[in-house]
Amino acid sequence: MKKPNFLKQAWLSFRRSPALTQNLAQTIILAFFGFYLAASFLVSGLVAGELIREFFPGKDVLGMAGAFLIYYFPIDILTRYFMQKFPTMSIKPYLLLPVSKGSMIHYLLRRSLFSFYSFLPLFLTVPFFFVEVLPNASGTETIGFIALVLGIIFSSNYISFWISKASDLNNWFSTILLVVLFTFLFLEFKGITSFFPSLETAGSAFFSTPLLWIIPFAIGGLVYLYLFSYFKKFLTIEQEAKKDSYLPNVSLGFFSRFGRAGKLMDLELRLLLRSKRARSYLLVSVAFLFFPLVMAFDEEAGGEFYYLLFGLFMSGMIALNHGQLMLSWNSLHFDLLLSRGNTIRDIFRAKYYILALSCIITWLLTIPYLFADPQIVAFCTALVFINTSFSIYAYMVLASYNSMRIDPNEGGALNMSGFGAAHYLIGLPIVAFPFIVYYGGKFAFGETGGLLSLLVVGVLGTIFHQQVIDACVKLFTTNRYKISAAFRKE
Amino acid sequence: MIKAENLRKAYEGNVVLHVEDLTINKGEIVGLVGNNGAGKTTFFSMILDLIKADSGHVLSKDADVSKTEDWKMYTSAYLDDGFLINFLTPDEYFEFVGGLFNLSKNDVMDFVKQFEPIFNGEVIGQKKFIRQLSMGNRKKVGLIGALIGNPEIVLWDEPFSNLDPSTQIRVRNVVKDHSENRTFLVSSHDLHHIAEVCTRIIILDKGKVVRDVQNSPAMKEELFEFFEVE
Repeated sequence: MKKPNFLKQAWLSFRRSPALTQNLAQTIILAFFGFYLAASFLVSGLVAGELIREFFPGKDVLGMAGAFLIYYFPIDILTRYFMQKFPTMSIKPYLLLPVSKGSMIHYLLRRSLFSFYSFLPLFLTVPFFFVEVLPNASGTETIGFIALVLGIIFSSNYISFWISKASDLNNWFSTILLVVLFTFLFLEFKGITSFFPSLETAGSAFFSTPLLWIIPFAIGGLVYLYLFSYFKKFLTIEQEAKKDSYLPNVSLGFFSRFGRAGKLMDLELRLLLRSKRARSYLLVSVAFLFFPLVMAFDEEAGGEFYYLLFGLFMSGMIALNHGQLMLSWNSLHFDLLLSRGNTIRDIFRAKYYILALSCIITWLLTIPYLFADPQIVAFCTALVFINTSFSIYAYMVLASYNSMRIDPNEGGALNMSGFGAAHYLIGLPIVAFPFIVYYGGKFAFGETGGLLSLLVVGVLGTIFHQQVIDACVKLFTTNRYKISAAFRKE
Repeated sequence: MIKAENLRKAYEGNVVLHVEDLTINKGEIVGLVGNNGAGKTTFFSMILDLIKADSGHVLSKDADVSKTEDWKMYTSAYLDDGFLINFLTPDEYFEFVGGLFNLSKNDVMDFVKQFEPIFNGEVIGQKKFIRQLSMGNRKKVGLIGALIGNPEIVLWDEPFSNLDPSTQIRVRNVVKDHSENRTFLVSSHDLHHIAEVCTRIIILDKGKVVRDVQNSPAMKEELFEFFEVE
């Protein structure tokens, strides 16, 4: 039985993917981002030893490094869960070939190990290894360090693979697991629990006791075997068709006041809750609301910079996240929307109102911060109308000029399909605009003038939304053939 | 009802459709036949203003479809899965389409239930998203969905493919039974079904209308003759 060259097939599917062949700008930006991340890790790795000595004087550097690594373990699992795309190599075409199922699954599982997220910790630990571990540690400890790093990479990869598979099948299990992980990290960061100091002893013990080295590999190996047996059992044509959890009909009677656009808003709401990608954007947005709880703003100079930034994102997170793909969300059924029962204006009205409503709702959710820091609420209130006007308008104009097809049920938070160079560029004015208004107003009218200018400009902008919608409809109508053709292209 | 005048579409120099003058009258059941690449789907897409004509235009009730949107209220189509919303259940899809025409959920479901023999218990009331349905069932949802809201013009592209033989006959009967005050445009490779149900048959070949006749027993023979291979 000859094995097909899976690696070559994977490479071809990557090389020939539309995202890569059509979108050079995005590839360059992503490559640059990856390079930046790797470089900053590299530098941190080089100076990590010095930093530990400075911040934890009198502590054992190696033991502290071990503590950080163990600490990093749950963070790594979470990062991978949200960011990494686990290879579900489209297996259907291979199922009928005379290839043993086992070799196919082994390939699938092994390939997941060779992702960017597996190499990322190496950028930090390899320089640290050469600067600190190799010259200072004993032979056993040196091997112990290598074992811990590789063990963590190995097991966290398969654990988050397992979580993401489990969440496909049963939402509750993975939700509970994620909540537990999050709560642990939250309590630890807030200093309510403190496992960290005891981790130092655990780290030192790990490095000097060869018997313990097996533990991370054993955990990873067990999960690997579990995944293998799971796939072996269920990898058939029938099972490959993804199971969807059925969600009951959610329909807000409130939308009916918007007429036909209300029907489209209903549709958008269901899309938001039912498609994987839209849902993960929604989760990220809601999680962002809790951001001020973990981070304290600096009251001193520069504090208002952060207030502005977070005010902008807190009331606009859903609108910005979801709105940036605007019409692309509907690309799979766009022909229906274009030809049946509603006008193009209805489509744009629906999009605008649902995004503006999301801003208002998230703004309402920020009001409890009144008890913690009234400044947060003041900035959110001043910025909410900037979001319901200029931020959304920017994406509406972008969408009526050019859009790309996406499958909303594919992929998680870091799925970049549907983004063009324009998406990266449009972010700049969206963020810069409120800053200009705020500092302009502050300069002209004094301390509270900044906030008031934001409010006035935002409210004025929102009042004219009908005119903006009309302009976008006009722009879209001229580009409609180009856009709808792009939506049809797989 | 629909009038195509000097309608032309070419891709990179290849003319895929060139209809000089074609009028489709109210109440006709028009069968559109032609081998692959004859331009059937392109023609449908241009009636729906989904692709741009290089020259010429399609008039619906005397209004250019690329300049107005009125036709969207009385025209419906099922060309492919782009007319389905895959994250809805079939019931929700019907309800959504009905909602665009101010039909209540009950009205829509009452209307749809008369087609239960076609759905065969696998569609209505199922807690399954359209994306999880089989190809045949998706087609059924799209075809019946296109009848909701009492459209005056219905465009069905290849309604018989992917369906089992009994359902094909049932779908054919739907065309017959629901053709009152309605113009049907049906494209198909199945000459038998077309000859059985259509009042007028148009043969497209390489983008051009080569035959355009009222259906009659004699026409049936001519139709089969045209597609005969040596």
